[in-house]
Amino acid sequence: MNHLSRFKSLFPFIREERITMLGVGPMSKRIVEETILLANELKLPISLIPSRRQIECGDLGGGYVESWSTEDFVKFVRDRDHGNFTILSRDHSGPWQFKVVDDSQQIITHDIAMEEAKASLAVDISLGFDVLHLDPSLGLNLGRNEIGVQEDLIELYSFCFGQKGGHKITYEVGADEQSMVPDLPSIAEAKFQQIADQLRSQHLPLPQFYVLQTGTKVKETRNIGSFATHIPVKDMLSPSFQIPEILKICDKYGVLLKEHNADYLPEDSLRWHRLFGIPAANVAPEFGVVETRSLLKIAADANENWFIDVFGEKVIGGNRWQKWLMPDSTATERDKIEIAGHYHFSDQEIQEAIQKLESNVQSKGIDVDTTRRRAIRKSITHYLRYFGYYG
Amino acid sequence: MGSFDIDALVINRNLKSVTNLLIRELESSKYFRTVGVVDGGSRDDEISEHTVVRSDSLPVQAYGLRINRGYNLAISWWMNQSSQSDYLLLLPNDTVLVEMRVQELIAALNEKLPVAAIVPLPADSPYKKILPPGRIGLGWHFNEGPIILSKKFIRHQKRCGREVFDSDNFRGYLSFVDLALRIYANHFCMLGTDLISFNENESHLQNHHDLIVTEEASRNAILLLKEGRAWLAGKHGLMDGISLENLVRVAFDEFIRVNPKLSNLKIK
Repeated sequence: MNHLSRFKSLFPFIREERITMLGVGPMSKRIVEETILLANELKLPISLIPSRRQIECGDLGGGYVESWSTEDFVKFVRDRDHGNFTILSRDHSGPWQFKVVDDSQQIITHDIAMEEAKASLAVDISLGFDVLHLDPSLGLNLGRNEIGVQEDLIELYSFCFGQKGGHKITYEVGADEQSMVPDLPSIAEAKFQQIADQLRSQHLPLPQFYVLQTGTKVKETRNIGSFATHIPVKDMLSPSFQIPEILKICDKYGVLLKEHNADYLPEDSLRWHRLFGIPAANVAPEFGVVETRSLLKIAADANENWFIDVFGEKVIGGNRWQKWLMPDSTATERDKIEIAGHYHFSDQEIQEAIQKLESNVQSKGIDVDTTRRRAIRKSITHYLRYFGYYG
Repeated sequence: MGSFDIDALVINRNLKSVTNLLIRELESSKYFRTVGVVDGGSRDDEISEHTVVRSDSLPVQAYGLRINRGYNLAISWWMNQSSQSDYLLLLPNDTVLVEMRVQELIAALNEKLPVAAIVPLPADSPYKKILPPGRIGLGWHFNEGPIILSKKFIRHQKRCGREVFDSDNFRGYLSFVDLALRIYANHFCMLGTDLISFNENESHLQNHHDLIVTEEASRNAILLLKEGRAWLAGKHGLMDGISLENLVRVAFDEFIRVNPKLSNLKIK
């Protein structure tokens, strides 16, 4: 059975069982491996959801995770996914989603950004991705208006369908970039109606997944959305009102709700994913943070503080933590290292430092690789349990 | 609803000048038959001259009344008067008047609506964008703040032998959701509108929490959740707020099901 038919045959089953399909951000090689192992152990689909910055086609230069190209990544996954339970689900593919500026720090033009997005998507399709999330919403910050962004979406959708095998893929549309602006149900419906009308006019089918806000928003190492806090959040709708309403809209149009930014949600909120019937939810940075914390703990426990210094200097200097900070952040240097450590796992200097750490602590009976994997597995399993993978 | 007579009571605790300013605004709007202040344990020099009733027991002096107990005291005083308007607006003193289009509210209200409560939406409320065209809509999921109660519903609750707001829910965790459960279960309804609109002046809580004798905002949020959950478990046997909200949503959906003509008023 090939991957596409596997996904399409398995997904109805997990809908029947009211399982919320987990999408895992491939923040590191180990996270990818543990995801594949868990999907195959459970014989249930789990998605890997690479963004273009994480994993990008070789022609465009590859991504920051393991410096993998899409080609490398797909081979890595397929070689290990013996039961075909790992769903490859491109996250946020669209113009400017790989990079906003060129080498001379000029904002990439719309035409070039669209061409790059299409090149990226063409590779995804040729390599057999199961799901493609089309998200041209970054254009809203770069001079495109809502109509222009919708036109981009239809153009990308049409492009994908025109590719060999493109019609077999499952599509996901919508954006979570403006996460603090809630998706007001009737407004979300009106927007989807516009997209649906345009797709129909081009004889294109509706997407299977629609990304809508459920009151989740990740900042630093917590979820600050109304679904997480359980107290009223200014400008945000009550999730108990919003989620059932948007699920009704999705039912009406025959699409499935995809939740983004489910990281760090408390157990109560996770439990409600199944009860509400949220079909799919993505978790990404939390798994990278968990792996970073496990490394830092190993170093601290083993008195290998040099590692924390080397790793910390690289992470702080890399500034990848900046986009995650709250406006009034009180994050310490340690917090910033935890937030953004995973961006640097594949840096040569950090790989060498990790090897040295492994070698140094081996004599103390500490297996760095096993410890990292256990932490990752525990974190992914936490979500799987609440999402219904264990019954 | 041909006529819409309404009284207003403001809850004060140690913010006399702020309270008096709000009272003057309400009085100058000419919409209210009676305007007064309910005092929750202010020290003597912070008691407004507009005060109609006060609670100054030692616990109230120490902890204040907060929203539920303050509103209940206001309702109790109001119902003990020889006559009342049909509606009572209750509001905390850190409220800033944004909109007061009472005539339009009257026009928008359907006479057959079994109104228990109307919640004025703050200017930045996301619900404003999804209100039905008449700027008034049916809902169950409003945040705590100013509220207009109908005398009919207050009497109904009194006949049930209970207060309108739960005094055991000290910080008012999901207080309006809890109220909505009783409203819809008793075949009344709850409306949201921006025809009357107030904002909360958060600076009072941020800058004068010691004077108001409350906790600063972040600490208050922690306690709201912690104590609120304990209240929720004790009263309803529910472990989280979403469970209560879901229960209320079901009661609301049932209300809409048996009142299909009102479905166009649903906020969605």
